[in-house]
Amino acid sequence: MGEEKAEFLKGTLDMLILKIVALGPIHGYAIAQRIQQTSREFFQLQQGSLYPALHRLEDRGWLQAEWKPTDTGREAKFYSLTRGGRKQLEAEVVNWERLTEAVALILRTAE
Amino acid sequence: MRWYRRFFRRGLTERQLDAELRFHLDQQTADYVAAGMTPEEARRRARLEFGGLDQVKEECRDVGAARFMETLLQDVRYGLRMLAKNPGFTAAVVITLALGIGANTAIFSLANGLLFKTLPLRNPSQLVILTCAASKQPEGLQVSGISNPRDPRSGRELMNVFNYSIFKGIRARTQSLTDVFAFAALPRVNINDRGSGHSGIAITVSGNYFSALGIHAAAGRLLVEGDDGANVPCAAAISYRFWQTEFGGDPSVPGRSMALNGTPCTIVGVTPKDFQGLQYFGPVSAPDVTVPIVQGEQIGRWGWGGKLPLLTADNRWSLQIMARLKPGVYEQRAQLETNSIFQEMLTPEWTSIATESGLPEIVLLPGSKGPNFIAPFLAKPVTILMVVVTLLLMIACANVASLFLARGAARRKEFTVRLALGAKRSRLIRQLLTESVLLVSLGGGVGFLLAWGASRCLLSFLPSSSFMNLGLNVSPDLRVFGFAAEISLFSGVVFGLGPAAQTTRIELSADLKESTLLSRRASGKSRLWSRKLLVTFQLAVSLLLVVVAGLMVRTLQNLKSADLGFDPRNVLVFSLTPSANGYTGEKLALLYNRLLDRLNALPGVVAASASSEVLIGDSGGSNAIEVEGSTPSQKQMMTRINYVAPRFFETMSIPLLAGRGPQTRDTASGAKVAAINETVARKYFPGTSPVGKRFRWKLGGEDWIEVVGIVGDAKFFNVRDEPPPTTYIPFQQNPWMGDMSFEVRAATSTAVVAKEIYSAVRAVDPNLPVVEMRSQQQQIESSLNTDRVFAKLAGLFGALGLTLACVGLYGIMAYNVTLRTGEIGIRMALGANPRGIL
Repeated sequence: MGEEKAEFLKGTLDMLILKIVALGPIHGYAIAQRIQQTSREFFQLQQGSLYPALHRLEDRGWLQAEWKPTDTGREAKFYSLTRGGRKQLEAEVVNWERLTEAVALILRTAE
Repeated sequence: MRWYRRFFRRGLTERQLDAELRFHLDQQTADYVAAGMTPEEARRRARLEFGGLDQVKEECRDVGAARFMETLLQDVRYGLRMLAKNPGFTAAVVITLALGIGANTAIFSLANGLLFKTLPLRNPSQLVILTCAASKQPEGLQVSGISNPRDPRSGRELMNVFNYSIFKGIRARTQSLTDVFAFAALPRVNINDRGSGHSGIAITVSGNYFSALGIHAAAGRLLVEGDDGANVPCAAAISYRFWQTEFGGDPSVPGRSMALNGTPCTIVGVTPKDFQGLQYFGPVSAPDVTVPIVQGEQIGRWGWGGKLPLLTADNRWSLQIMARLKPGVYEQRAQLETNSIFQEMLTPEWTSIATESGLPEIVLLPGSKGPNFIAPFLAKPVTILMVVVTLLLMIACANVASLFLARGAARRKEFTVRLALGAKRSRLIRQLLTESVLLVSLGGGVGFLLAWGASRCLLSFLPSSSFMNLGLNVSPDLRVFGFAAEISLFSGVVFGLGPAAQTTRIELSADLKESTLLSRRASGKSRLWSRKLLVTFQLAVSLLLVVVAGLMVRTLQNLKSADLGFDPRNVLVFSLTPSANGYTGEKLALLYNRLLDRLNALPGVVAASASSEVLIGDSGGSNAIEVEGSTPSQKQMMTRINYVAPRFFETMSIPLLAGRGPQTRDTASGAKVAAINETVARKYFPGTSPVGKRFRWKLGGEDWIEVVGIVGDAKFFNVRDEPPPTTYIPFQQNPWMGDMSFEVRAATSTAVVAKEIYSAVRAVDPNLPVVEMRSQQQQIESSLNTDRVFAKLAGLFGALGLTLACVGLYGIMAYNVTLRTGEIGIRMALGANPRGIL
């Protein structure tokens, strides 16, 4: 892939959000920062598209939100994982690992 | 946040969304500023990385079902605004639909009341009716059922009556049934209370009848097990209606002793107002008086005064049996068990004929609606009515569809603009559908209210006035409401979708240019074709309805103006039931003669007489005659028989053509005489003068009867048939002389005479109730009830259909004119005069 930055795979964004939120209550901006920093800016995230995903996850009951002041004192919407969200995250991680394993297997044996 | 919270707190959600996104942008900007950018640069960069702000917001709003609700609400609001803006259009659609849906709902509520409603009892679904399938009946049984039901599974005709010992046996031995009860009809009974007479329809029941049905008295008590025995005092319950009409609801009536057909009997209580008996049809319907079986069989008398054969006799099969299934017991098992009890109890006369056809078998029928024999009678007319009103609804829907199309044309520009601005076609269709469902709900609501009122009027339309006594419940219930809602929604979607699809089929470029007359007309043409089809269909259907209505009204008029052969005007008719009070033979003849003398002496009375059969009363017997000295022919010489009192022909204005009519001197012991009508004279005494000739009855008569008079032909059974051959016999020479009807011709006012008749009867015997006082014209009217109902309904529906078709026609013309406004404008401008365009 070289210099090109990866577009998000469909469905991956949800898993990444859940994973990041699982670490503790966090607001949208911080999630965007975290995704870009921890992936060493590998993922090119159109930052705006994060929000529909957040709202969708909240609507499904996997995230819950709360307005709390940040360090600077300004109010922000903090997301945290619900019990259902934790289960979903586990399921998605398992799926993801299976998928990557399978792909890796194919790549190795096809050589 | 769940979608419903999102939906109901849209304002808050919107503000929070704003705040959340602004926080993100501000934070990013701040970070870039901290990294050394200028504030403007930082803000620009942040916005760039974020992407389209409005798009993100829109996507966030789209999340979940809240979005769907929101659009729906929007559509509803917009729809209501559009409807309010076009009150004419709205009114036309709502009225059209209300008429269509109202007519359907009214007829359906009638069908519902007649065919579907269950009895107002405790747990009606547990009730079963015992019937038996017998391919052959042994000789010597007295079987009297009212009408035989059919087995819904096999179609076999079933017998619905049993004898008393089988009832007792099944009741004692069954394990799967509980509350086994029996009942049987009685002829009318006379109730004499302190010198006043009342006549009521009676029924006999087993002692557990009311407790089995779970019915409680409106006053006093109802019959109990202890009342139904041989050596207990006679007890009777009366119906609420009888209590009110005959006794004015007198609270001292329950507990009072009265004479039932001469037998002292205590009126123990009153049945509840909404309980009309188990049957909707036949002589047992809405019984006025209920007595236990063992007493009832002693009290009951035939119309000719004879005692009823005992209900408890083994050869008398006249008891209907019903029961409740024990909870948890299947009908199948109960049927098997009852059947084995039944077959063990059958008498040798049954078993002796069983070799060829097998033993009769018990069949259990569902009893939640009672032994409802009216249903099969009315199923057909009600079905016809349902078809007619369905046609009406189709006309109405066609109308609404064409109105929608017309309006669609008017709104074409609006839709074009919306499509051009990026609205999806499905979205527009949804909008239109919402509007049509709104309209249909309005129409359906109004229609439902209309039906509510109409179903009451419909009842008075019904063929027999006895239906009113039954308190047939046609008030709309949940089922009716469901029906109305269903057909409303159905018509809303079906007839909203077509026009919606057509209206939104828009060619953008052409339609945006409003004045492109040509393209409009081209696309308008195909649409016009389908609408023309709609209107043609409507006109055809409503024309059909009008023609049918016309025919029916014409028939009715013909029947009404038909020559009856007698003059029904100013004639009062009433019946007496003296045989139930113990009058027979000489005593009865004496009573009748005394009463006739009194009636004839009343001021204002032209003539009074009596007859065994009321004219146009749909009843009467017949017999074949054998003329003296004539060679017996192959053809039966049948004649109707009416036993009449003196002055009958004078009273009814039937012309006496030769000889004389029956007179007081024609007593039972006197010489047997008869008067015959012209038809008898012509057919059975050809070529001679019948007066002085003799004949005798083929069945049951040895004596020769002398013809003493010839009278004009008069209709007998009904208005429709030609006058039958009729023979008039002096009433005193009737071997089965019993209850009779009286005819009184008044000089002018029948109202005054009616009052005097009551006091005349009272003067002769205060215990003698006057039964069914009516005028001869009312008698004829009631015989035409069915014709009138159908003529009225057909007329009503015809008029409705025609109105609807006219509205439809107006709709298409209006649409046509809108489409061609441009063309007409140009033609006018070029000098065409308005008349030419018309």
